[in-house]
Amino acid sequence: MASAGSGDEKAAAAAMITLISSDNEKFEVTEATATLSQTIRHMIEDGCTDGGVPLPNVTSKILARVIEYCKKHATAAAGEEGSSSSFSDAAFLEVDRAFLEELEEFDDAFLEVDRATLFDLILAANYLDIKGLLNLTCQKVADSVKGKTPEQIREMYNIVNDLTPEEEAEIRRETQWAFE
Amino acid sequence: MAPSETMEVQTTKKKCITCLPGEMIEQILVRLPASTLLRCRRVCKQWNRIIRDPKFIMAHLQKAPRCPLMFSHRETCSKKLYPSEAILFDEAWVPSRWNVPVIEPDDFLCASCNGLVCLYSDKTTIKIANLATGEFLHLEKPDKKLKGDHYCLYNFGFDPVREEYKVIHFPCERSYFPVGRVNDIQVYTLGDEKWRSVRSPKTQMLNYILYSGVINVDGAMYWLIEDKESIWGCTAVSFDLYEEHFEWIRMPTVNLASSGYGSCCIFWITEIDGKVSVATDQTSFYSTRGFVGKLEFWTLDNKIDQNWSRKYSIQYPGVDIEFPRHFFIHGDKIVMYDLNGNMYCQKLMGQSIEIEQSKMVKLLNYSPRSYNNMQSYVHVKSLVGLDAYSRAGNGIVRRPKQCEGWGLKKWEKWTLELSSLQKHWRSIHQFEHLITTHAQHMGLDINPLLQHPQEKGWLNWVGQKWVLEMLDAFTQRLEGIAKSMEQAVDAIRSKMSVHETDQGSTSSVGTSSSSALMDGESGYTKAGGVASSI
Repeated sequence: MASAGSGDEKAAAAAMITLISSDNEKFEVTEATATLSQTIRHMIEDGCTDGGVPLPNVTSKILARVIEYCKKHATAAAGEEGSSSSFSDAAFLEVDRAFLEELEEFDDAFLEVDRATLFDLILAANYLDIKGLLNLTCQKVADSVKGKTPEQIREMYNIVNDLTPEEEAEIRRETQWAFE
Repeated sequence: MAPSETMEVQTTKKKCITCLPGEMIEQILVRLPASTLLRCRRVCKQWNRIIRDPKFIMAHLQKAPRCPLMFSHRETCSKKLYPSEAILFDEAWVPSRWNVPVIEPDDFLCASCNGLVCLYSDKTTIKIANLATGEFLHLEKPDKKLKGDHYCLYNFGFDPVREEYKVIHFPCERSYFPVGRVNDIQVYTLGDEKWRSVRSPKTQMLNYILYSGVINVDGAMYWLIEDKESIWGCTAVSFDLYEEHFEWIRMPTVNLASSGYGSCCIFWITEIDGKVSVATDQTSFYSTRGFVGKLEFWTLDNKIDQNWSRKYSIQYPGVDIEFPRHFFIHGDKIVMYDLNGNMYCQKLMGQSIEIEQSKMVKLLNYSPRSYNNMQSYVHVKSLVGLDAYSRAGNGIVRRPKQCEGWGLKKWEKWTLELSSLQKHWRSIHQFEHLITTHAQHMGLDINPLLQHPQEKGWLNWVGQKWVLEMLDAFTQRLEGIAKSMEQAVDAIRSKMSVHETDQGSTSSVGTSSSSALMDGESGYTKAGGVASSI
């Protein structure tokens, strides 16, 4: 981890990006961290990041969490690249597994948020085009829906049932032969 | 911290899933299994609209996991008739316990593609069905009086260019199967009303179709034909579903492990990780199995250059096993069965693998059904609909009102046995529930053994075995439970004789639990009777 850390510092010295949240808070991040977002990557490529990148759709609270996610995953990605050449196959697999486990633990802990934050994270991941984060957060919501009845889902997510009784009956009829 | 917390609570109350743009709802829903999505259609208008959208259905299809499907055809074993059944495995390799409603007892499976299956029966129609939604349509066979017509002469695939589904049929000239010879094949595009003939540039000898089958990769179908000019007397043919033209692909060059008398290579067409592949084993005159015991898998890297590369080399010298066609390999596991009715899988690590008893993971036991009647397919539970094809042509989309094929006289005994098994399960479950509640009243803690019989139609043979095992375990435990209850009742009675003043309330507990015990005894004999009769 120490080597990965120093690598990070080198990259940090090379290029830092300033992200500005909707409530005008500034966040300094390395380019490696920022470019996990395809949206920011494109901005960097177009050379329009001088003076900071304004992100009017993301609050400082959510942006802080997003950066936390990106930092962790950027470090993991850098660590994987570095380790592949210097270790034997078995050792590499071991390191790889350890990395993945640690990352999984991080992701699980990261998702321990209330629903409103989770939805905000989905919106931010979509806006910033961070595939891993979008996948993670959407999967979390999907998992919460699995095995639930329509009534339970509506209750859980405050959804108003706007289907007419006829429409509901029709759907019931159409889906009665579904195989679990 | 306090003010921000209150703010959060407020936003939580206001924020609901409907605040997310439709695109994000799609991103969430696309990760759910088909069965959940069908239920989710009843949540609200927006969700119903999303789930029915053909674009969403295609995106879901791409994401949904590919799982093994084992199909056993209708057969008679030990003078008993068994229906055709499909066992679907989930991602964790757990087999389904319920019959797929849309598969009738006399159906034969021809192909599985995009969540749809093509089913053949003795009737004049071919059935295309979605196993997950239960939707199906019938289309007329090209020739209703074709002698020697066979399920393996039909296949079904998808052309991703035009997004069309096509059924193909090999019209064999000879009624004598399996030496079929064709000069053209017949094609039926779903939504069209007719079968068309597509001329083959050469005559094709279909000797290998029965045991090797047809596979369907990236909009083309592949099968093996006899070819006397090639080294092992065999060539692969591909049929592009978009351009509808044929190509001949030569087999990989396989080196014989031993060149004893009668040695030659036998090929099967298969698919590994979405790539066209062949499996090959060497026949051996000296081996009881007829094979050397070294299975090689080659995948086609490039159709134009006809380059094959060896993917796996699998040895199984010490174990008496066979491999189900047409999908030998699912993900990183190879499926096999022994002659005692057990099906196994083993994880494939590296290129060179030895099948060892210690590494084989048992999946299920399929006895008394015969070992060579098991076909392995890949299936994906999708929402692909057939509505679009119902307006044109002969196809009628229907959802079965009842499983029609089961009404036939020959299945009467089978359905009777099955419904009585399920009835017993239900009544014994109720009885167990009663015992458990009574026991709890008396301070005894008994964990219920039987799972609640959720009615999802009929049990398949995996489910039947599961129920029988549960009932067996239950009958074994029943004696113990009855004994401890008796003791409890005795204890109450003895206390009652001491405190005769408190008669009213305690005696009611005593009588109801002893009546439960009597019920229990009849339930016990019923369970035993079912277990021994099936």
